[in-house]
Amino acid sequence: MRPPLFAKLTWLEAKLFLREPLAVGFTIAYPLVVMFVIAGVFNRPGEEIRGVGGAEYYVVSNIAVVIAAMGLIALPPHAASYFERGVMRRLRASSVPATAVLLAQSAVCFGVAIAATVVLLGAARPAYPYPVPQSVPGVVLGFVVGLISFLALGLLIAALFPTTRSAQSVGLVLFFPLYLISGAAPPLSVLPSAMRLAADFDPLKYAVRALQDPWFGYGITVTNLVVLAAIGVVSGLGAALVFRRR
Amino acid sequence: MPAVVDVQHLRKAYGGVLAVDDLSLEVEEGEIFGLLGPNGAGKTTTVECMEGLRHPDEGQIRVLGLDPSREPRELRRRIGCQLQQAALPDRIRVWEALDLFAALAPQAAPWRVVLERWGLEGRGRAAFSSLSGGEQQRLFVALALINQPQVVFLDELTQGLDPAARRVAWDLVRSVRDRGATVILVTHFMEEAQQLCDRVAVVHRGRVAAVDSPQGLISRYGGGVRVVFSTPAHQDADWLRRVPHVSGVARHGPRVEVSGDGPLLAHLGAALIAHGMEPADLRLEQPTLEDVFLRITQAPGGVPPER
Ligand SMILES: Nc1ncnc2c1ncn2[C@@H]1O[C@H](COP(=O)(O)OP(=O)(O)OP(=O)(O)O)[C@@H](O)[C@H]1O
Ligand SMILES: [Mg+2]
Repeated sequence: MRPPLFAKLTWLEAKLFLREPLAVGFTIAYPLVVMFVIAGVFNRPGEEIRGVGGAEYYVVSNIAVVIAAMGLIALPPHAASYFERGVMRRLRASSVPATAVLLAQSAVCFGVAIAATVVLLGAARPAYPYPVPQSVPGVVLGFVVGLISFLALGLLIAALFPTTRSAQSVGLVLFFPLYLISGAAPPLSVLPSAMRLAADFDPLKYAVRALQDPWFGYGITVTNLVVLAAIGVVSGLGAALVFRRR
Repeated sequence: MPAVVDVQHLRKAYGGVLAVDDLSLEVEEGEIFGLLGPNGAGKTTTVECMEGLRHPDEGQIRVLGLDPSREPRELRRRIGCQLQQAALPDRIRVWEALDLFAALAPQAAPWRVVLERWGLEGRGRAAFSSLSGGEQQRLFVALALINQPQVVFLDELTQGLDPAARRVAWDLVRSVRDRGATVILVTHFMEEAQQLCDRVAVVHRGRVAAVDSPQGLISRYGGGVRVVFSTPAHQDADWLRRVPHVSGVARHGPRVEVSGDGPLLAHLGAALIAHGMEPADLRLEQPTLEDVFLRITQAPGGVPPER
């Protein structure tokens, strides 16, 4: 597909995304509200989580919530509905390959995630004056790798559950438990040990850490990035395989 | 000249269901070619194989000399498709859809013109999901024609259209053909097939059971003409069998049905008068495409013998 056409498709997809109340609510409003509430709760003098103040801990970790909501809640039902309702067939009949549509949708999710993050950080600033990142490249790297791998996971869900309803349910069912044990909800240190063990299998925990570590000056942790990249590659390949078969 | 659409021995199964079974047909340039057949006969599957949306299990397809499975890109620039089952995103606006599809085709008419041509002016800012069924259908037909295709596939073109919109659609199909394009039209409306199609294939159980012009099909499979009138029940009607061109006489109370062929009516009329009978309700019942359709698709062993 020629670049100007892809740009047009992506622009159209962006408009469609913004007309989707559930997607906008979950990816922009929800992390914002959760951040204000939970950062407020833990914003006490002397309260430290992972060596930083409660407020800044939660401002940063809610960026990962944006990422997870994008990949698990916004993208799967949207992509699945195109397969379910015959939008993909209609587009394919006019030489718009499904891959181009899925790429455009992912690109929009990527852009909206950046916008949501900017909104989140901007809104948090007056209430919880968090420090700037210790390593900006590290944070950007963590953000990009985390976001891409969650978007790939979203495409895998859409591939495996190609109806709006099922993709939406699966996304929501995955989102909440993963969120609760990721460290972006209660701090991991207060979780029972079984849950802390489970958290090691939670991709969102690695996304949270991939942002926090460089932000708070704990360096760029390779494990976080490798785990996220592996999830992204496996999901992406899996999705491509399923889509190809169809 | 080679056929614009050439299908030979097409076979396609879905899992265990054989949808198309050794189907062959050829469509000439500039034809409006109809596909008729009962639900599940394999019409949509056949058309989707021609469009390159499905891959045949066996057989060979050429559309404009191209293999739809191997050269879909080149093909799709030159064909237009209206699919039986398709949708656009719920929240896309009509103008956005037209704008996108126009961008895909360099030779497309501007979307404002298309909007007007299809009676959708004033609906440009409406969301797809808020359109009525008929309006959605008009939009899909507009999208199928937006790239000025050389071959147009219309799968149940007029489903959901009101009678006026149906006439508009027919006129458009004719004008598309007059421009030199070839049209493949799947339909369940006999009137549409009769009005529009140069030739019609009746598809039954995944095969072409018969193909001819609508008139040709009627004279081959229509089962002849019938003349119907009433007489008092006691009056003898068996002598009618000796009238030329009569092949059968049936009686249902006062109603007499005489079947036959060719100039049956004239001979029968003359004979009746010669017998001193002047029925006021004497009328000719000509077989229709619907009779052909029913005869072919309900024949116990497949295709009925030609008459
Ligand atoms: N995607 C599919 N998966 C499984 N079976 C299918 C699929 N599409 C069609 N079939 C089956 O293949 C057969 C032919 O279907 P097709 O859609 O080609 O019929 P059709 O002639 O277009 O019917 P209609 O007039 O109802 O549109 C049917 O028995 C149908 O159930
Ligand atoms: Mg069909």
